[in-house]
Amino acid sequence: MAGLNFLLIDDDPDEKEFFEIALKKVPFPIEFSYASDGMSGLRLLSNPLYTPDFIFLDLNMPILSGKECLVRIRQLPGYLEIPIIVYSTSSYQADIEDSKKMGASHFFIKVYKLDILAETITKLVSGNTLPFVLNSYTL
Amino acid sequence: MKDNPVAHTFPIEYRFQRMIEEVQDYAIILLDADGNVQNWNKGAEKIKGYSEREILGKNFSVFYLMQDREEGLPLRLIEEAKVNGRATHEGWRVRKDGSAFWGNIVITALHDEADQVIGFTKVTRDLTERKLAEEQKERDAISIEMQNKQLKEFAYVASHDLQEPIRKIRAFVDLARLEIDNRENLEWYLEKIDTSAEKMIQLIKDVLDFSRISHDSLVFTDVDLNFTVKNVLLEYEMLIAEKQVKIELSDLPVIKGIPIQLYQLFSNLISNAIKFNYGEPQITLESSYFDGDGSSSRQVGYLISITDNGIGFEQEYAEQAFQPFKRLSKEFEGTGIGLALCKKIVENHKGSISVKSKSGKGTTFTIFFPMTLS
Repeated sequence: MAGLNFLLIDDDPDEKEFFEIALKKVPFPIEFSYASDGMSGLRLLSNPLYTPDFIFLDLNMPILSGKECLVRIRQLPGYLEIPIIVYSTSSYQADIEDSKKMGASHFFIKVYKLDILAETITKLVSGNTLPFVLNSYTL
Repeated sequence: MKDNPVAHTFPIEYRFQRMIEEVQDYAIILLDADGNVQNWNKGAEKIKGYSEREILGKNFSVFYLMQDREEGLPLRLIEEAKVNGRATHEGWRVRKDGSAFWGNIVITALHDEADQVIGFTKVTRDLTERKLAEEQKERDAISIEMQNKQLKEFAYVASHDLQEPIRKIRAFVDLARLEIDNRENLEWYLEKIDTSAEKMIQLIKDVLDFSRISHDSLVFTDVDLNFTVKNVLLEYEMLIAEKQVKIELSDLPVIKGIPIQLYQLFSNLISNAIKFNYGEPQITLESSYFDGDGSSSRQVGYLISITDNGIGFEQEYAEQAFQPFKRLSKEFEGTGIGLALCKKIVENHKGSISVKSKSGKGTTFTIFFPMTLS
């Protein structure tokens, strides 16, 4: 499997670091890009030379919220099918349902165990059929 | 069976008259066909405050509020009694001393042999206590509803914003454990843990501030806003000198308000104006008297605006600016509670707050404090 591309859109730079650490534990080579807000994420995705294979999207971001961002990504040409995983601290049922309605492929509740993030990414990349909510809630 | 011998000495009409005169809990009044008072009883004196001598011959409309009289309510009620035989009504009435009571009234038309209306009886009960209890109940219900809403908001925040720093602390502790022998990395993780803890403390403080605002006892006094702003500027003295902030003040009004909340309001707005600025902040405070926009509500009060030349935001996000835990900037640290707090404070003062902003140009907040019209 050659050169998978991940994009993380999250306003918190610590998340970028967590992601990078988790990705090192995934047994596949993964290219990783990061956008620190919805607008720059959308700009990146509008570039015809760049198409990620998976998008991880935070919900709670200033200005353009994750939910708005989700809707707008799905409207971009070619982005109807690309897996978008909402990546949020929220385990609120309403947030999970909204994300589903707005076109998210999965919902991943941010956990402190980065191993769980790594395992989940591995499953995703392996093409397993997975439930909408990828993990159960643990703080 | 022995009858009371004294009772026999008075004619039955006299006894009926005494019966009515001595009832204390109801005002029972005889009105002529035009609504002028013909007789008076103890209950009427007790409820309405007039003595018999003062009130006989006066029109019963004196018991009504000015507004009800202007709208012709007393006349409408006797017209209704004329047509239907009776009329009932509940509403605020005025005592002789100008105080108000909540009256429940029944007006009944009196007819002569030829079925012509010759007058009315009017029975009034003072239900002020019941009315006030009902109003209190309504207020309690609204307050409970609002508290429930706040609880929901709080629960949402608890499920999100407050968890984030804890999760990060745990993640960094995990990472630190893996590299326990690498002193340099370890220190870096400790720093991260500390930052997250700091953020957590700030969030908890803000949540507390926010919930406290709604539980403060609302004691209104005269507040000189010049004094309030002066104290706020003293608080930020160091920061103002450091960032070379220029402040232009104009004379501000004295308003009825809660001093500590008004301080918090101006403190938040001024500190925002200083904080959200990459250059040298320029802040202008202006005040004007607003005597209504010609609408029927005739809101009269003070408009106070605070303008800065800071980073601003696009106007379409103005609504979000006042929502709790919504931040409009990622370049500056914050919990997103400041403006929500401002909105709540202004609402506690029966006022309103709005914002005009342009990204990169600056922001103007405008607050309206109504003067209570009596």
